[in-house]
Amino acid sequence: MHSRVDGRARPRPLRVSVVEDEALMRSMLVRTIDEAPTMRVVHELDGAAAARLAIAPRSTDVALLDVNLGDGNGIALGLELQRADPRLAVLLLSSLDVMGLFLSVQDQVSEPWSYLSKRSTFTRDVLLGAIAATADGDVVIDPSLVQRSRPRAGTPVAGLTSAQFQVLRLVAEGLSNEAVADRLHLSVRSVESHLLSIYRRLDVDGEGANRRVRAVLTFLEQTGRTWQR
Amino acid sequence: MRGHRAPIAALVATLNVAAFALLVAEQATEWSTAWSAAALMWWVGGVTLVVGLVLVAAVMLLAMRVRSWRWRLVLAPALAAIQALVRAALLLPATTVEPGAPGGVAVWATGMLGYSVALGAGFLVAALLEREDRERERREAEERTARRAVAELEDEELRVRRMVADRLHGTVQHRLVVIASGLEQAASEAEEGSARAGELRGWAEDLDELREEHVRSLSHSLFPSGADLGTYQAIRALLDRLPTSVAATVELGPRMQAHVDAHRALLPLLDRLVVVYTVEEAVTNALKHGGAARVVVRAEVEPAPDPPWILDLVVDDDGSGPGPGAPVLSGLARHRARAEARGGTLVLEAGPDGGGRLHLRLPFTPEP
Repeated sequence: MHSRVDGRARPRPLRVSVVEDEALMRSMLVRTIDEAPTMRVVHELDGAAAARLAIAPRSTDVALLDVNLGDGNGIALGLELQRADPRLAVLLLSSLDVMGLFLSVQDQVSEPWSYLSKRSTFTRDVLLGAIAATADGDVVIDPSLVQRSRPRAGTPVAGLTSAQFQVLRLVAEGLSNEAVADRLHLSVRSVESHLLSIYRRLDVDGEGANRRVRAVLTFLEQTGRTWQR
Repeated sequence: MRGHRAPIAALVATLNVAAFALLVAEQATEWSTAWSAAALMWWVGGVTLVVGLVLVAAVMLLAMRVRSWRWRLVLAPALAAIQALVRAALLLPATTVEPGAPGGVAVWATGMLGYSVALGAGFLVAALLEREDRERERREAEERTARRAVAELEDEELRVRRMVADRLHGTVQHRLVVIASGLEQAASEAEEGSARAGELRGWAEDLDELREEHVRSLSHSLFPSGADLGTYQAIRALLDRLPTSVAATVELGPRMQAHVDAHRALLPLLDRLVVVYTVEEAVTNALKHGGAARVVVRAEVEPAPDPPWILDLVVDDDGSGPGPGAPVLSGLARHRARAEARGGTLVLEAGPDGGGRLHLRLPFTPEP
């Protein structure tokens, strides 16, 4: 999963394609990305049809796709683009919580996708961080959505201890073990041991980063997001 | 006369000719003493039959060439008259022997009458059948028109639904996102921890809730999220939105799973919407009226060599179920009518988990 060039030492800027039908939103995204020295927008597109034509395999590192395009569904577009170019990293943007939809296609993708709420894209660091991490093969899920996640009754995630749940939630936000340890005032070693029990409880197998991604997807699958306060 | 009606008309005419031949053969024994009774019967009957059959064949050929009923009604009697003349000529040797035997004119008239009745019966049957055909064709054409009109209406309804849902998704939600982000920005610029900052954040959260709860449910009822991707995706999206106190799962049968894995959306969009709205109704009833804590959706397709295939979908819950005291589910009746209009069935029964089981069977023509 970490086979791609490291985010901090890229030989060339990340090539990003932006597919968004709202003109204002699109220009805001393009401006923010182009201002970053390590990134470059190669395609600026307003719909699914235009994206199918423009985004040739190997021409883009990360595709930023709005879920609700005027002429089609961004998720379907992402699946299509990734079938043509299995190394393409996909970052979905949505103005709505479409986690169920996002999860329903995660077992059909060659590289796991990331997911940001449009609200968060207004925060420069969140947007650029998510693009870089997604390019590196990590799964980044919108922090505001992750924070609203509550375990769904009757699922293994609901059976985690509250400490385990907190660790897993921060991992889902895309934090490294060190960052999680820092945030929760724990040692890195106890974060690692929490993670091992989480993998066991959630029955997640696989190796290294792959297992981490599976655990994040399981977390999302077995939680729900609530908006009522 | 149309192709498949002609043989029936010919058969009726032939039977009449045969009956006529039998009748005259039986009476011909009186015609002559010179001929034996048997010879008279064979000769008169045989000639009447053969000449009549030639006539029927000739009229059939004529009817194939001439499409106008007016000309048919002129030419057919003319042919009958000619054949009656041929018959009279052939029978003349048997009639002139005795003075009491019928004369040439009488023989011709009998032939003319017999043959005309035979042909008339054939024509009448053909005309009646043809009128019935036309009537059926007209009915079928009307049904086709009605079906087309319904399909066009459904398409138009879908188009408008999608358009409005897209606008809600696009313009309206985008504006709400922008405004909420602006408020958030203002809050972070206000003095941290001040009442003003808290107020601004509160408004931003109000807008988020408005967007996520109310605008979403509006847009969902217009066009369910994920319906354009596939049945499974739309059901997943629907279940994901249930309160977390509810354990909700969707289980696909092996055939349905194979199609999902192959990125194949089997059901046409209109059928997908029927399925999604039905699941939504089942889940809503289970939670609202049945107090369910667990919902399981199972779906499988039953392929057939020729369309339609069947989608078999079951929604089980562990609520109080559809007991005798259950409220009348008017929503369910509406969904049942919709399923039945598409040739399916929708049944609410007691489920194995103690709650309700909604069972939908929906025929559909798989998408290429």
